[in-house]
Amino acid sequence: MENTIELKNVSYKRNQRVILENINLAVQKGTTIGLLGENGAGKTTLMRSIAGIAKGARGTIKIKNEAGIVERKALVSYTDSLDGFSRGTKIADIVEFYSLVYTDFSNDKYRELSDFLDFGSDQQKLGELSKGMKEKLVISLTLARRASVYLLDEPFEGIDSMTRKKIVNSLIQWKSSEAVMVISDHYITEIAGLLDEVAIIKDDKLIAQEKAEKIREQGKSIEDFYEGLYEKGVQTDDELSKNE
Amino acid sequence: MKFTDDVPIYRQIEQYIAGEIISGCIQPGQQLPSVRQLALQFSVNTNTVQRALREMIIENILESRRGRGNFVTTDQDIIEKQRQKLIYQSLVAMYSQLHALNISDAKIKECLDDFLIKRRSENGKHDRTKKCLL
Repeated sequence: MENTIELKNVSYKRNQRVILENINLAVQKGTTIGLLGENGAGKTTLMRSIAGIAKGARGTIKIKNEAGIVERKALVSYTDSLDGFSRGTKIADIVEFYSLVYTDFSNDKYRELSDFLDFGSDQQKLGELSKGMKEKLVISLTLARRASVYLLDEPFEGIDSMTRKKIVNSLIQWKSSEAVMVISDHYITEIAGLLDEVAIIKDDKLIAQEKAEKIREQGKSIEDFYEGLYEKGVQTDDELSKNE
Repeated sequence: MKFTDDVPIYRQIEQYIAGEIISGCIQPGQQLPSVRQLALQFSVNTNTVQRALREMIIENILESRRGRGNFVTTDQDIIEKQRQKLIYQSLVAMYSQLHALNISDAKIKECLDDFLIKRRSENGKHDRTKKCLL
């Protein structure tokens, strides 16, 4: 099988501080993978590195065998927090911007998504949107690109359960079967059914990658698996060498 | 549709669809909804649904027709075998629970007989039609 995402020995440092350490990750075509870890574990930095937004990562990052940042950016659709737009920007203008910047942005697909998620008129201003509505907008913009990889950075953070269900359904309905989707979260139960695999990141390291159904075959829930690794604590190399 | 998170979801989907076939909600020869429709209904990803259907095709419960979708078998023997399997699984689950409470086989049989008699007399009061979800 073909790997859509391939990371080899990826490390990232900022101001002398290690944020990612020696990450190895391979994700096959069509996979939906949950990137789980506590706040500050390095999830966002990992996603931004894959997307080519966080520059300065060391090691190899390949998307469909492309290592260049420009090529990667063209293949990856990342949930932008839209912080670059002022609060007074109309939704319609953001959509216009997306369709100009991204050649794979489909206006039709955006319309379908925004109708389904139903966040109202595109004449609304960004600053007028509730948190849930803004997240729906971000999801619509992200999935409207015909990308090979979708990176959704905590799409359910602070979202009520009705909205969460709607977003989950939009992910099921609009992800193409070849695309890879990476969803980061620190709360797992509600999206467990969506995931083919989970990758767990702790203290800047990727400590596990496993198939969801394989975990369940051992009579464990993904939550058990995640909490087990977090609580018992997998000893990291540093801790091991300290004990010696 | 709610799934238990500590049993493979594709197994639970298989059981669910088999249940719908045995109860007559889905008829022999009938076409199943598309993979994506099923995925939406179950709130799981399409790969998981595909895996469940693949297993059922291997077991000949479903028949895949190229470009047309998946159809329930018309072979009554296969459906009957599935019925026996589900009955057996339910009995095993019930038996092991009662057995764990240290209840004797004779007592279990006695209680089951009583239960069935009671149910029969109550039947008039209950709506026995099963709700079909697929």
